[in-house]
Amino acid sequence: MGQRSNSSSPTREDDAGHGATENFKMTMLPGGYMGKILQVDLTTRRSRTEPLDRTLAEQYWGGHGFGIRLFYDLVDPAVDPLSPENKLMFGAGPLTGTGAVAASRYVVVSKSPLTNTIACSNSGGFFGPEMKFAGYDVIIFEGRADKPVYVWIENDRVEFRPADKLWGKTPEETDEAVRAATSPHAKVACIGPAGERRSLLAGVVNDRQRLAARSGVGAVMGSKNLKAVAVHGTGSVRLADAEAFWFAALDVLKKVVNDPVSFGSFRAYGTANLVNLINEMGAYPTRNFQEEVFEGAAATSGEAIAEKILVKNRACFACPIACTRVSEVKDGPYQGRGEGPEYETTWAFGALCGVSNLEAIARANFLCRDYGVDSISAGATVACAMELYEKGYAPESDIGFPLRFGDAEAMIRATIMLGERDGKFGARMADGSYRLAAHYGHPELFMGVKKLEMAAYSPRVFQGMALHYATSNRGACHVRGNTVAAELYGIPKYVPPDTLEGKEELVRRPFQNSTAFVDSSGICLFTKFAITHREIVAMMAPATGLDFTFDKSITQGDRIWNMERLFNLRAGFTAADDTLPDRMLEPVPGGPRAGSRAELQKNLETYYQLRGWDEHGVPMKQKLAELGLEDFWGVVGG
Amino acid sequence: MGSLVRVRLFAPFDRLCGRRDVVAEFSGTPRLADVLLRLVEQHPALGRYILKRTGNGTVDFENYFLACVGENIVLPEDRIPDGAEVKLFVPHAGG
Repeated sequence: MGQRSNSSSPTREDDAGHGATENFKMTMLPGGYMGKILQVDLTTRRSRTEPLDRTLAEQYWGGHGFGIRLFYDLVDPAVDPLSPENKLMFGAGPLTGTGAVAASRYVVVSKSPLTNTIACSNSGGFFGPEMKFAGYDVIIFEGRADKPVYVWIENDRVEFRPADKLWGKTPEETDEAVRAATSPHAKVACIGPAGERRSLLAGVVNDRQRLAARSGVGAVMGSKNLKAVAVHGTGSVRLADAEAFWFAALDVLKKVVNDPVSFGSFRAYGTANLVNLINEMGAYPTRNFQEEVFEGAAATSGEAIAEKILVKNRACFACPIACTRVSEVKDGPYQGRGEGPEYETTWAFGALCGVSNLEAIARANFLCRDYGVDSISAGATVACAMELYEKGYAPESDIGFPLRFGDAEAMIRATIMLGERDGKFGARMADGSYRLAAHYGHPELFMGVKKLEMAAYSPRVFQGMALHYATSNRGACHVRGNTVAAELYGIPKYVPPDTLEGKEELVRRPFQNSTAFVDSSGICLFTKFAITHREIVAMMAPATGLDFTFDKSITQGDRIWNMERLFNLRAGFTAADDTLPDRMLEPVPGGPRAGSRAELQKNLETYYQLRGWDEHGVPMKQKLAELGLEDFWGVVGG
Repeated sequence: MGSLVRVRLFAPFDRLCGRRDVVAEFSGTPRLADVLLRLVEQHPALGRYILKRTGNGTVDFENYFLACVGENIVLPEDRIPDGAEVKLFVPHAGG
């Protein structure tokens, strides 16, 4: 039997007002928010709740914003990410669970053991809404359990249960076992074997197959001996002005279902609809970014997935798009069934490894799901290992077999080694491509920024992505400033990929700041092809009853970006970390974009100026004052 | 022969109408379009969500919601038999 804490327990410190929100003044919130933060101490196996503060909501809005500000206040940036002193936060947005289109998202915030930066990973499915139905906007896990546990949260009740029998199980097996032991209605977020083994590529897996994948947040969960969190709630999200909310929400729904990108391409072909488009542009990184055109793109495209292995679409909570693919390889050596592969996974195990066997790529995707690892970083690490092998830097005696680009079977074997931490080479791969390449004395073969691997958009072609990869607060992440929307789809307006002019403002405002805002709302980023900030704000204001405006949303995104920057600076990062791999500064060797390269330095200087940062990348006093962060002046040099 | 049709309203239409179902009587066998227009007559606020004004002044229906009889999707020109229950909903994945 697990331990139980309840409202009469002396271990519970409800409404104490000291802890997560002590920097904020307490007042009630009218809607959108559930009004509570749950703090779970795994060391003592006690929990307590605190009220969510109105000022925190007004300044940081939810999800991403809550996570960053609370984390900044509660955790020393110098903390060892895998120590009990690090915290792991799950945060939902005010729209999560309201029924607004695609409002399914929650974030996982921590200090990344992969990058040592702030980590904020994001996932859809049903877990985020269920957190809200149980009554919580944020759940904070701290400390470390002495033995593996899972935490069962049902409305106000929090139980700590032994997870010894779950240790070693895949996320799907864990989900099934936990729901059998708790409630069939429970939604489960857990780690797979990779998180247990503290692979720095491990993610948090919710709803069996969806990952808050990047930055190694699953390793943090594993370091806390926290195998799973199951949550079930019987509440609902209160709306401050239901009629105005639904009017705005149905207007958004109409736009999304009539949009050729959000509802057209993503519904028909999933995210992998991008494979042929990006490859035709000559911007599809191939064989560890050595080339930018992949000869096997058509065979591994969204169209090929639809024709060969697609079973059906699947949707997250309140989503009409249903971009998730459920695919199945029915026979042969790569048999399997499940969600995906997504665009990035198709690329990472396909073009990046030179593999054009779609069934093998699907198999690698299923392996990542079963181990619970980030498929982008895992595929990129295998690709890096292939280049290390082909150039003679990593000997076959270390790997155990020839690991050549294009060899599907070798790619699968390497992925299994990574997931299993099998041998020394597997253990090195499990900690990502930077550490692997550095071990063999060739860190220049790591294709990422701040130790996070880049995704499937070449920064040698998309100059906006070059600047974004270099400056993104969690490393070379593609989603938090995906200028490809403008540089390919023309959203919000077309800007040619190879031009430099205006890219600094494009990256900063409509992408980085905007994404920080969207990820705070609880809405899926994929709606942004069809709607703008204004429409999201038009839902948030009546949902919450707070005075949210378009202008405030811009400031809010900027505030989050700067808070993350301050955290990273305090953790020891400098302007020298805002860079790209040398290979990206060299010309593309062939294809339609031959000669193109990332022109980073000029854009970077202007970007700092537009951000209100000095030449060292430190936010200046005036900027902090503009964001209401003047108290943070002087926490770092500048 | 008259027909009696029940319209069952799912979220958010139930919240917008303030009720979960509506019963309407027709002199013949109505089309779904007739049922929806009657619904808007009884609950005018619903019009702004489900009706779409076309360029030539006629009325069309928005395409983001679905109507079903049993497990079959019905379209505006489909006839709704006497005694049928029409379910009106937004095709979202639920909790």
